[in-house]
Amino acid sequence: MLRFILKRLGHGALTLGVLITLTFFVIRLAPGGPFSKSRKLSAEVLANIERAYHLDEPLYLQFGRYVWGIMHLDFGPSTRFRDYDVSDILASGLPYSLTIGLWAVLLASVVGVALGVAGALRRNSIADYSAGIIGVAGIAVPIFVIAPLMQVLFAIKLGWLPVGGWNDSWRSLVLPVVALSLPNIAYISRLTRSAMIETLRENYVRTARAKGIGGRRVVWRHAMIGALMPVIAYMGPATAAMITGSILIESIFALPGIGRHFVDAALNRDYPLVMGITIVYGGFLIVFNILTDLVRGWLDPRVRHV
Amino acid sequence: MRRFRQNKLAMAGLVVLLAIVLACFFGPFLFPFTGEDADFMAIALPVDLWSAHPFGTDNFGRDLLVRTLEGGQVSLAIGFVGAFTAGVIGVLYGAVAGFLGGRIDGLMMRVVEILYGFPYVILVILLSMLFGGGNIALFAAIVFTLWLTPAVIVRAQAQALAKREFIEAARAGGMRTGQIILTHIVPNTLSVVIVYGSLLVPEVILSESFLSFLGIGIKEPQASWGNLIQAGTAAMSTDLRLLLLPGGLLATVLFCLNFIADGLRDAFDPNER
Amino acid sequence: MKLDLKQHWGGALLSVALALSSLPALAQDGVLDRGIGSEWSSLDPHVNFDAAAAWVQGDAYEGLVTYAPDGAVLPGQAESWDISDDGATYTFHLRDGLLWSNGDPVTAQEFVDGVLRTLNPETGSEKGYYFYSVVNIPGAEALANGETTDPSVLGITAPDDHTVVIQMATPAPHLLDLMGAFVMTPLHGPSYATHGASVFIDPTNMVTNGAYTIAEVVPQSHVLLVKNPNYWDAANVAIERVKYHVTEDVNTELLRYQAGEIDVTYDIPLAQIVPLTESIPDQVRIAPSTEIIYYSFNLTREPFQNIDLRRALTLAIDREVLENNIVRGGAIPAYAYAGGFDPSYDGPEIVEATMTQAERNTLAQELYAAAGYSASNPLTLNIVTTVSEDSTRRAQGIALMWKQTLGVNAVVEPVERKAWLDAFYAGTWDVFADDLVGDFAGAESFLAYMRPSAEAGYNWQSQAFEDAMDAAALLPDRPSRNEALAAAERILLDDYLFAPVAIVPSRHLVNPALKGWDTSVAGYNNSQWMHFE
Repeated sequence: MLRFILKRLGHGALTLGVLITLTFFVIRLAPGGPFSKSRKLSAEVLANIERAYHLDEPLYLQFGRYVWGIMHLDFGPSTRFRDYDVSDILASGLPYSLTIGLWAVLLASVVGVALGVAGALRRNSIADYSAGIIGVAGIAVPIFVIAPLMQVLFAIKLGWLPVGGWNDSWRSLVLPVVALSLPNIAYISRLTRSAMIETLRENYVRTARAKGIGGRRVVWRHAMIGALMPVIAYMGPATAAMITGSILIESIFALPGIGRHFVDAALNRDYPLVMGITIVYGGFLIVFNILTDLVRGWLDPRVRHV
Repeated sequence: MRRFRQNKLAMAGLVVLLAIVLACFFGPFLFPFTGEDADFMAIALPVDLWSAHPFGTDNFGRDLLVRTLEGGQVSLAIGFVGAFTAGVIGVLYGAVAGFLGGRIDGLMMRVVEILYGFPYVILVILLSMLFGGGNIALFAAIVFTLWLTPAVIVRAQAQALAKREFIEAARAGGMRTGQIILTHIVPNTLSVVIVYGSLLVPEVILSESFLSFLGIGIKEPQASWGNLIQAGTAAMSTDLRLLLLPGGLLATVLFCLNFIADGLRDAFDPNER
Repeated sequence: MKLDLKQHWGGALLSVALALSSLPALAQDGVLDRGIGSEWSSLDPHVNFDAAAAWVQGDAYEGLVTYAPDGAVLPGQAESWDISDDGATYTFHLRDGLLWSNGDPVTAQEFVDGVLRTLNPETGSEKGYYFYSVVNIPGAEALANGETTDPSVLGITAPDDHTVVIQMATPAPHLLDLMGAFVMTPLHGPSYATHGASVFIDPTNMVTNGAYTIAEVVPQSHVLLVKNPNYWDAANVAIERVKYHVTEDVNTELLRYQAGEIDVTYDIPLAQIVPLTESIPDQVRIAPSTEIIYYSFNLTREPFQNIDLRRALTLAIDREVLENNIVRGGAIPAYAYAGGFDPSYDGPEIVEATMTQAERNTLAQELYAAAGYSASNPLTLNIVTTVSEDSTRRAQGIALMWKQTLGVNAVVEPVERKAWLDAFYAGTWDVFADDLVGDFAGAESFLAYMRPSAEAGYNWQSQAFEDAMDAAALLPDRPSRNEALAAAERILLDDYLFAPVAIVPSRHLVNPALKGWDTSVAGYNNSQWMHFE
């Protein structure tokens, strides 16, 4: 087991290395650069600024400089936020995204699985359809419609919760967490339901029940594991995405997380920040994929790799 | 197929969906104007079912119903084709990776992780440079990363299946790997993919509005459900119908797909043969 | 029917909510909460280039002059100034007893040091051009380009602790528009020497000379300022605490305003402008800013080398319908390019401005035909614009108008901002949805940008225009200068290298309990002039 983890971590580091290299060179193919925002810069001033950020050096030199930097956990200065280094930006924003994201993962998993199981057990009943409609609402109604409606209802009309911003209290978390979890509840509930129906139907489950062997608990356990397997696989990339923040949620609820950088840094051609974000997200993704593989292996021995 | 037809809800969903598709592709011919004809004298008319503009007009004086139907053509086309393509690629990739396991699986999954990790906005910008800002670029931008999650899920299913007795039996019986994958693994993972795919269609349609911020997507004055819903949301508190017509149709399509997917899943379930 | 019910219910809910909440809760906490849009690029006063962060800068620092809410120039750190007869030398006399927030005295040399830092290539500031492009101070360009590091070449000196002398090569009556905190913040030597650039963002080491000091900085969230007791006019500063909030989403900002969390918004959602103007007209403040929108024609492309065609396209835009019915963002239709920013500038007479749209359309059709186009031979072109809602609506509106009036096939291409800038220089456009922010609220700023020698990328040659601008640059007083500039603008507009469209508005919602807010073209609004009732 330990060997497996170490081996996967090793591969993960290699993957991250490839990702960093690929991103570093490819982002420079997009038109424009970090300082092409104002058309008034004279050629000399532009050259000065680019020199200060080492953008005038040959690419391989810039890359070497960058790699040397990350070995020392220095991700470079941001070109858009002149006062800060990329590590400052990530360090200040990540806790917010993580908090919202982790709560959303929890909520989405619990509610999604519950709805899916309920639907599977009472197939084609009113309960199934209701669970289905509730579950899928998160995708039927886009988030950029649901979120403002929630704000109007709970913040303005009822005054229970703040419209946005971070107030250090749990109230600021409620709406963003719910909004972030809704689309995932849709996927999780449908996957769970479908997988559970399949599992309940499997021949030997039927046989076991018919023969009266095993009893409820064994059947249940087996059915749940079967139902959860695709969901667990789904949660690998989904968790990584949720905890690194969603730009939509963080914009609408005015939260100082890192979600917006996934779009804005690229739009601003802030190369160091794009790299930093990529490393953080890639890192989480790799780790969560390892974790979900491990969990699935533990639940279902047939899937184990070692 | 017979089982599918017996599933009343699935059939109802199919009928409604077909009705919507037909309306989108043939409905506009029933009107004397197109969705791009602007009438500055008739800006922002409200719903008036018996008038020339049954659902009113938008800010440029263009008929909302016709625009919604025309928009449906493009959106449904991209939605279905996109979701289908992503599903097919995802299933094949995941099935191969999960079944073969070992080094190949490792390599394939690492490629998936790299594609996940690469900054999506940069990818979209580059694709739009490569293909121009039109529909091909849009399709590529959507499908490029859409197949990744189905692949991850199918791989998980395939791993479980790979160790099952009937697979061992098939292998012992001399079946080649490719055949096993296509005849045993893929059909058994189909249910997951069909269900996931049904949720992908609306996601594809809505992602088009996000992509329009990056300069890629259906260009005005052409309509699409993505840009209609986005414009409708901006006007949500003053003029709800701009959002409700395309949004309502999208939600209906989603619910139909849900029931259809469930029916298909039942119909294709190997355990019920 | 389902659709009607939903529409009524949904619409009712939202309009009730809006009606109930259109009176924002009074800010009982005594903090002035202002929206600032996207996060500032820098709080370093010599580097920051954002207009919104300039509000923070204007509260925390003060230049030689400051500006009243209506835009009038007021004495700031300098209590008076003398202007030489030729208008090229300004002598500023600092007040007695000026102090930094930590008690150190403010000296004249610190103003010079601030300019030197702005010009220093190592600072990486983009604001240096104010000192050699917008006004002509000898030595500034050489310092900015790194040709010399000798500070004595600069035409700004401090002969003693209380006097700052600015010696320009040519007169510039608009110099006072530039002597505020945005361009002329002094540099506090000791703290900068000890801590470097971090003094500008770290509240524990920060030293300011304005009405406020920065107490808290949370990236992506807010900046909190508290009153500076050592400010020379602290007695008249009513508001103790000011909080600038990052407001990325304009709809959320509106909701926060209605919930009482924000007192002054950064912007107003386009769709809400009309309903809000009807329901709470005294809280909606829309006024012109120093930004003009104009649609440039690509002179390197064959069709646009025909002046008749350019004029036809310019005439065929119904600017009133465009801005009032289609874009509906509060922009002010413009037929001129450099007018509308400075009330003392009359500008040249514009024939098109007095015609009716029907007359303009007729003339446009004649010119279009004269250029060789017709229904069987229509012009095809693309319009490259940014993806913002205002811009795309405007481009779509103009495309429709050109189609309906002339039969032109116009394709709108919205692209994201960097690609838009890149496209300009790459020349991959027929018509470019262009805009320019003036360096100050005056005609000269805009006209100077269009000089062929400024090489802004328009591929336009006109010795007459250069000569006219050169002649204007020598005039020492505003009235004669404005006249000369108007003559220059005449030359520019007669060549129709672009179609002026509209002046971009500033749009804010202001809490009715907040007094002292006014709208000015330059858009400065120091918190020190405001108070709650």
